[in-house]
Amino acid sequence: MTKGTVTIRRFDPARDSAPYWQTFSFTFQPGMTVLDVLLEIYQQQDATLSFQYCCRNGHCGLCGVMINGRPGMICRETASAEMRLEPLANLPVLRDLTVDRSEQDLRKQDLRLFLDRAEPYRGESAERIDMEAFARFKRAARCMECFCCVAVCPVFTARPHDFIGPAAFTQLARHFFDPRDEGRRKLTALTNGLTACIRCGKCTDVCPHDAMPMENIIAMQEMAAKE
Amino acid sequence: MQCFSVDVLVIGGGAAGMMAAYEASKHSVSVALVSKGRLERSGCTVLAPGAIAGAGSWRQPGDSPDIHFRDTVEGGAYLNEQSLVRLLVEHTPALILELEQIGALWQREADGETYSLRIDGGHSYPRCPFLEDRTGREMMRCLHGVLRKRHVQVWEDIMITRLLLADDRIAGAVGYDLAHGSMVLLRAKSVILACGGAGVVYQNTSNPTDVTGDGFALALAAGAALMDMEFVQFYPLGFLFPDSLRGALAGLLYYVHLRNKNGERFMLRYDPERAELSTRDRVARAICNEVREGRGGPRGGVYIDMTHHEPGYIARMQPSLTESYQKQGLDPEKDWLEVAPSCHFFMGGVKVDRNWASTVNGLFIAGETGAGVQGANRLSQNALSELLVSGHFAGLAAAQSASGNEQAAFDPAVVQQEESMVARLLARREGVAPGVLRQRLRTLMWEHAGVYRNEHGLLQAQEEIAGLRRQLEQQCLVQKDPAWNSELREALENYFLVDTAACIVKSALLRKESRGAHFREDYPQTDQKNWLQHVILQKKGDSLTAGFAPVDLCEIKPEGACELA
Ligand SMILES: Cc1cc2nc3c(=O)[nH]c(=O)nc-3n(C[C@H](O)[C@H](O)[C@H](O)COP(=O)(O)OP(=O)(O)OC[C@H]3O[C@@H](n4cnc5c(N)ncnc54)[C@H](O)[C@@H]3O)c2cc1C
Repeated sequence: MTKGTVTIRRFDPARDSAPYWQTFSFTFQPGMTVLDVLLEIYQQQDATLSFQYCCRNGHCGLCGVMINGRPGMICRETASAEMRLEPLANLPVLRDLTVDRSEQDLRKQDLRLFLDRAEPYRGESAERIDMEAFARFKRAARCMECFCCVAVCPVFTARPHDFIGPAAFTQLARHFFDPRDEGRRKLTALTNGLTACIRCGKCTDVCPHDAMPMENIIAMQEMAAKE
Repeated sequence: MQCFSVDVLVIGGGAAGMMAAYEASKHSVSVALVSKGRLERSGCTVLAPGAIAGAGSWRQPGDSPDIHFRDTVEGGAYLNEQSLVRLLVEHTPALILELEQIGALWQREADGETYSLRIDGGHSYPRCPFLEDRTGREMMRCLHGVLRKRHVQVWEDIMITRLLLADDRIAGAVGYDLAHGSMVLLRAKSVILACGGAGVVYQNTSNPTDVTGDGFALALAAGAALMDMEFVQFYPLGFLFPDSLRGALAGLLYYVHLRNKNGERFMLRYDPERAELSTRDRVARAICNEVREGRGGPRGGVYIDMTHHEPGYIARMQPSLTESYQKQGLDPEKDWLEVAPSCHFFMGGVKVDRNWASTVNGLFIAGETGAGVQGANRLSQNALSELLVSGHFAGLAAAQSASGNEQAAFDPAVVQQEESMVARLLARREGVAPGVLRQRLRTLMWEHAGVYRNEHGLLQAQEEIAGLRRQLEQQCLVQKDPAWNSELREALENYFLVDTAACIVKSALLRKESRGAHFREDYPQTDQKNWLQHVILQKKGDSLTAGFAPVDLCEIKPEGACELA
């Protein structure tokens, strides 16, 4: 077994005047995840180290962290013997690697993230759905809001109040693409900065669930232009 | 301290809790949902890749709710409450469609209107709608949407630590706001508990970290009866490495050959006809037996071998698992992977009637926290059906109960007791770390109350659990900040884990037979004559008292059971 070292950006806004870096060593085993490393430190060296996770297996989206400068879910990313960890970029820090998601959640509230339809379908068997639209719907619905895309989006970094961000747009896209939906999705998308996306593709590149934020945004742009 | 009042309070933010809140909100009462984790980010539901079992209009010729009923009761080794199973099979189909009305979409064939269906072990027909490998997430997403749409209040990151009672009626709950580090008082006319199961009580589990038996322990402390706590389902194939992934589902039985360290495909010895496709409980026992007899691998498991498939097949059939294999440096087309059984599901829980009402006035139950539907063993895909039906009935009944009752008084001293427990935890200067205590509990449960059980081991477990219970009041934290304190949360959860463990062990000791997922080495046979009954536990003062209740066999009876019940 070899020794690994990990340098973590620590910050408790209630106590520390500024963030600082702290280096820990750990027992490196090939195939271990970044979460394994943090758990070893938390359990054996420093129980004040703050980070979030719940499902351990890539589904809850709580554990996004910058790993050597690139966002990823710590439960899915394999550890290397030397690492640098920081909280997810573009989100406020609560403590150490724990970020505050409440502002992102607040943004979602205006998006009416539910099926907006005057009269629900009441048949006894499944409703007929356009399969092309369904394919787009499924892609967007894979998003579990780990906010890795938010951390790399240059437009969000520059204009966070004009552009709601790739994760929120992907959440909206599910309803935009839902052939049953009657909401004013186009207007909502446009007023939240739909056209500001510069199509750099960084969001799609880091998405751990292939929800393809950029492709969703482009498809919404094209559909909005056509109507 | 913050204080809120509401008619119906739902505790737990999995699909069961959300379904219950949604249903309650249809009946002219105020509804709030409170959850330890965040919606779509906590609990088991969001992990469920499978499907929802229900013989609806999409069923195949020959299939019917009656056949779903029979499959479920046979799978449950006749320990199911049959009137609950009847409600399950009759009502799930409409609820699957209702989820589409509120926003879900299930997988369809090319015509756009025929559901694609899954079949799984124990189901006689394909009858289970799904979406990709994330059916549970789709349920959560549409339910979360509809709660927002209907302006149901949602309070996340609040862990309920105690239910409030007034005489014989529920009065609300007290909780700890994990984000702000303060107590919360929630007064309510009726309460629905939907905190899921308790996978974390075992060393190996597929469950997420927040599923710690809170629902069982909260109900027990409020005086409710628990039932069938000895019935814990172990999924045979869980990862052993890396540690953080320990117990997560590592493969599917259809695609694997199981081998011991000598390379022998040992299942052929245990079940020559079905081999790996034998029942989950048998496969789990066979694996543990191989390991016990010295034929296991270095990590205490056996190997899954998928190398007999054509190239590309495994990657196509299970893309996300293949990614996990590759991250560990394994190629499923060349390498074997070491696995062991893993705690997956609790068939037992809070005893309920046909309205999913517990034995405490005004307290209702939904989802995995409840008992009775799944009997001694759960069929795959029936858990998602159970949470829909139980959520529906509990939501309806809780709303009715709230309409007909006043807000009950409560004893403010109880809130102070909770507050001072937290204060003691934060103030203690020396003692045992919550993580260490939890680890001991999980190991001993795995060893003595897991796949194989016997009287000697269970008695030892009982003693050790009593010791750990005494240490609960010696837990000491390094992190003293009351907000976002993961150690504090672990320490509070440990109380619930210890209570749950004690219930499992006590019931397992009492049931002197083997049935479904409960296997006693000292009583390996199923005893239809004496044991078609439930073990019922209740708290009297500080001790657990046990009783027995006959199984509801109102529709079908197993052979050899005629005289009983
Ligand atoms: C990996 C995995 C795969 C599965 N696959 C399938 C499948 O394919 N098909 C199937 O039918 N079943 C499956 N199951 C089982 C099924 O997912 C669960 O039984 C079901 O989702 C339980 O739902 P629930 O709402 O009762 O609880 P959960 O979804 O577990 O939710 C519990 C909620 O309660 C909250 N909570 C807990 N304690 C407290 C407290 N003290 N205060 C406040 N809130 C609290 C939690 O934070 C969480 O939000 C699977 C389970 C697992 C673990």
